[in-house]
Amino acid sequence: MSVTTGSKADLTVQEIAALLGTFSGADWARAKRIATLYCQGLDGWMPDDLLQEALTKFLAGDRRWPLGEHPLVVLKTAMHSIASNARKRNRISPIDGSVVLDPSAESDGGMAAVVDSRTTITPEDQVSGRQQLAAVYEAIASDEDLELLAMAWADDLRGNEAERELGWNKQKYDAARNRLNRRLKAWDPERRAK
Amino acid sequence: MIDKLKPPFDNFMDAVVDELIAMTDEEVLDGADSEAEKAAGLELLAAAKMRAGQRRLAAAKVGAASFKKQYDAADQPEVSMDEVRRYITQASNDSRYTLAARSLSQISDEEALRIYRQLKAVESDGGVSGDAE
Repeated sequence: MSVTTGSKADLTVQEIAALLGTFSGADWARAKRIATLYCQGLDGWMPDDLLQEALTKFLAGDRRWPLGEHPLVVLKTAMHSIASNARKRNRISPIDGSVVLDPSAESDGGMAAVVDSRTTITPEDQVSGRQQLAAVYEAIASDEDLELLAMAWADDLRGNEAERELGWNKQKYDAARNRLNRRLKAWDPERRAK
Repeated sequence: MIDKLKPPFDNFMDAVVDELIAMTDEEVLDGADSEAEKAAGLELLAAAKMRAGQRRLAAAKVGAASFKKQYDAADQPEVSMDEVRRYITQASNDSRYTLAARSLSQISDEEALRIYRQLKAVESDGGVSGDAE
């Protein structure tokens, strides 16, 4: 997965399909880790759904695939956009998992149930970036090093810079990073949303 | 370069992507079967290809319907057929035009409309001696 050329042009749909066809097992695993994080608190979406929707948009020609960008960066941007739009739709749509169906609210003396489009306060509501990050912190709260690592990344530090800032050596940094990867791998977003 | 304006979660996700790229395949897989991961990914890709094809087809159908609607609308007379026939009758009595000696009642709406457009075109071109039939 090292196809980068620095050109400003876009890949064609056929080129995108061919590129995705060369993904290794580890490449697909990387893409799924990213999908897993964007699905945190996203009602009705599983990581595979999000990744597949991103792939569909590229292959349908609905999204550009800039030549020269790393494939994971391109996929991340697409999944971010799709997840963000899905969250907005979930918030404004009266027909979603967080709608209040109130049979006690009567209209004109009738017995019809009234659909109230207010959203309830649950962890899956109002999932802003801050709340998503809070969910990440919560999920790794039992491991102090992972918390520190996530904080460093949220502060736009990574690699050697993060390592230095945290006062760790490479061995400790890599070990923490691998543990975070393991947590993400085991993360079940639907179970956590309940 | 540190971008302090970016939301922390966006920074976090960018770092996650960079770190995933930096990690070795073995580290990312963490004991998972590479071939199984690849097969699952290719299955997603195959499903996405099928859905993309369906979406492109649906979009093409919508486009074709829209084009046909526009075409049909453009093909519709901008005046009523009564007005078309009245205009042709009037033109047939105008010495500047030469129209075939056929009863207007014998020609179809389509033909009447074609003659009407020809007459209008001649009129707008300033020519008056053309044969409209």
